[in-house]
Amino acid sequence: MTKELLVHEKINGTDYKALILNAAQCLEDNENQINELNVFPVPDGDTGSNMSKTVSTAAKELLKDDSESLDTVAEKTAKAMLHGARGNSGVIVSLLFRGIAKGLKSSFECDGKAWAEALEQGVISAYNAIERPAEGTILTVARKCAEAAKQAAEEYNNFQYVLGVAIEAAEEALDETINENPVLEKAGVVDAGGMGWLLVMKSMYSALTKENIIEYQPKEKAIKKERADFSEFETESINFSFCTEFIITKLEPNSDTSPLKSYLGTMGDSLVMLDDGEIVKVHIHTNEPHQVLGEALKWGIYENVKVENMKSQHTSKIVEIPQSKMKDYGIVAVASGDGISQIFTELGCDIVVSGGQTMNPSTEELYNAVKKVNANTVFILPNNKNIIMTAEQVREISDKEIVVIPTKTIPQGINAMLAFNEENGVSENEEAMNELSRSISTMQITYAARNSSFDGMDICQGDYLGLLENKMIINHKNIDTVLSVFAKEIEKVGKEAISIYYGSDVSESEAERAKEYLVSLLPNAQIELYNGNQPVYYYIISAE
Amino acid sequence: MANYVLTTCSTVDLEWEHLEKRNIDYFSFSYYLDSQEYKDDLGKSLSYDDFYKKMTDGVETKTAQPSLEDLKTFFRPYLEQGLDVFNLMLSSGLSGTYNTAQIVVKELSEEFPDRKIYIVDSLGASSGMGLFLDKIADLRDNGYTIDELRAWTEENRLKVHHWFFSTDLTFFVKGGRVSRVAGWFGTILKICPLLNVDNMGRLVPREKIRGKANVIKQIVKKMEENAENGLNYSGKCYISHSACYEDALAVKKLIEEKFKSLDGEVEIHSIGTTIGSHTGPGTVALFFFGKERIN
Repeated sequence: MTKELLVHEKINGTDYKALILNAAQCLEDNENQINELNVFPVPDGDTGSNMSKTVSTAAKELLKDDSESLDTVAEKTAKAMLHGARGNSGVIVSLLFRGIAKGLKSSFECDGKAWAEALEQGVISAYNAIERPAEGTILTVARKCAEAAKQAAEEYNNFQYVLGVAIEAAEEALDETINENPVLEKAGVVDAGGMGWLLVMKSMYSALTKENIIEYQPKEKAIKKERADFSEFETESINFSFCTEFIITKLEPNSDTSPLKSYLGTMGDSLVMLDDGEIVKVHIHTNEPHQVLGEALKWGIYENVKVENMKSQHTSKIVEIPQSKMKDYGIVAVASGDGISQIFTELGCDIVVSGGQTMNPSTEELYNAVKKVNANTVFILPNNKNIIMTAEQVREISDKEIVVIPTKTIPQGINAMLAFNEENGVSENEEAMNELSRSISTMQITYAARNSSFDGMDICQGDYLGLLENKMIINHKNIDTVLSVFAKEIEKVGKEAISIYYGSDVSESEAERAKEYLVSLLPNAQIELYNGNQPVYYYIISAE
Repeated sequence: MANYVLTTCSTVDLEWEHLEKRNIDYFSFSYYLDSQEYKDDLGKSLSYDDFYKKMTDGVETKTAQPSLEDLKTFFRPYLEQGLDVFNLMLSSGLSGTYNTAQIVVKELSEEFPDRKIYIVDSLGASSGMGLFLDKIADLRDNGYTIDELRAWTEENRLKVHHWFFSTDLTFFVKGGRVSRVAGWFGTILKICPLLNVDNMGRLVPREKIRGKANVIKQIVKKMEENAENGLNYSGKCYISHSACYEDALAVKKLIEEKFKSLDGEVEIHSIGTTIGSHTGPGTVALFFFGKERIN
């Protein structure tokens, strides 16, 4: 770093406020990017959202305040974050800022040394508050960052210098998290919380210098985080194709550019616009870069323009997914109804493709789901006889090893999931999944969509239709008659473990009543009721 | 009277009175409730009921291995009396204590060059170790020399089968004894994972069973498949449980119904504080002798 350029030797409360506001903005802009790093153990993906919400509470509070004294502003920041903290990472961020506020106590302004001490205080607060601090997390990033800051402050007592060195250290520490934490190594990503802290530091720096240094590129040795991410969304899901960035020098310095910002807001998403009075920097994803550039020309002269087609970038990145970080097995199942889908997800299914009797997914949809699963072998559970062929097609077009377990009903699919064991080989799993799925009987109740005659039975619109293994065995106006026919079938084969999944058109009390009715017919059976919330089928009943 | 002493560690999950009666000494692991340290003394200083109640209430538990010094202090008095020492140790697949003990053996052997110090990896845990230990004590009483005993123990340890289920794997994962594998935590379907101890002495999740009633049947089925002579098994059978006596009793009843030639009643023991810190409440474990565990 050239020391002459390090003009921000000290900061006061007003500066600190600007730094926090920019950090909040930056976390909000990058919220999803951080979320997508959460891949394990369940993709709840909320680290970015939690950190963003935590820091934005402070930003909102500071907007109400014009204190110039640093300690007041830092204290307000810490207090607001304490109230607004969400999730683990949010809490850690708030602890870091609480420590920083402690370090800045009774300081009107702060230089490099004071900042380094504040960062150190932050780390101490965070480590103290956490019972078992884990390495390879935001804590490690914050700690290494503070250590570097301390050393830097000894060399040159300048706020900007110290923050800059701290950022470099944070970046290195973040790259390193993948090697420190086996969970991250397995998932092939850097730590989400650590990424968040790096962004906080960077956005503070960029608020100081008005330069955009937010971009983070993991080093070669770290697995490219974005590769893992890009495989997660399809080319089709990019709504705006052109990443457009430009800088203009304003025709009239200090003019209000908010009309330009409003216009840009209508042209795409991911908008970032920085106006420092003289120049305006814009980043936007849009489908009409020519119109965007045309409009911007009314406000200033171009210094720099960059337009990239993200779809073609993205396509090439998908191909680069490193094979070594793949897990052995993945599972894609077809199901409808959020209750049913949740069961599949809970049992370890990677992706549930929405579909079923009335909406069969396309080969493309299944193929895309398979593509998204970062595994060498993908099992597909069609859970409907009309989808088995479609699933088989995926084998033809996918590079991955595809094993279709020909499940024809939801209960068969659930049993296949139960039989799956990550410890076992492909053929052992295939055999076990087939065997257990075949061992269950499925009965389903739906309704007649129109008057008809089928297999010698006269069917009136609205009748309840009872299906055993997808074959209609009874139709009747009264649902209890259908249930009693099922009870007889169950008795006939001597099965005792019964599960009832009730659909979206059935209320909980109706479902309870149906269950009680079956209990009265089958006193020895063990009957469980679940809210499947599936369309079309009032009840899916399994017996084993 | 043998010229050696039979010892074990506190993860054996047998009652201290029983060990005393059989003339078996044990060394203790430590555990922590929040930050308070306790010695695992087989329920003497804190009852198992109180222990599991605290866990259910959310008190953080963790365990600690005995230190090198603790182990030396435990073994030294016997060596000083001129006795050899045999110790049946918790599986090396579950704890590093076996490895630590190797250093102890080396150092004590230098100090007492004429004594035999045999620390044997049980590749087992809980009352499975207990079941094995009782058999070992029988052989000692029948006059086995310490060398014969070691050979027999190493030869037969994989014949002790450990099957168990839990209504909740959370504590297992937290303690790092089972890696978090997707699909084993189905709360909607009330999944009760069925696990066993493999031939390396590690815990392995084997089957996902829906509901307690089904897993009770399934664990007994595992005994039918794996016990020596199947339904004609004529050895002893132990069960251990963590604060779920009723479930243990249900398993016992089903076994006694099916296996008519058992050597005595099925014994129910409590999972102690060291193993219990990792299982949490709600685990039932079943132990019997069978053919050698191969995976």
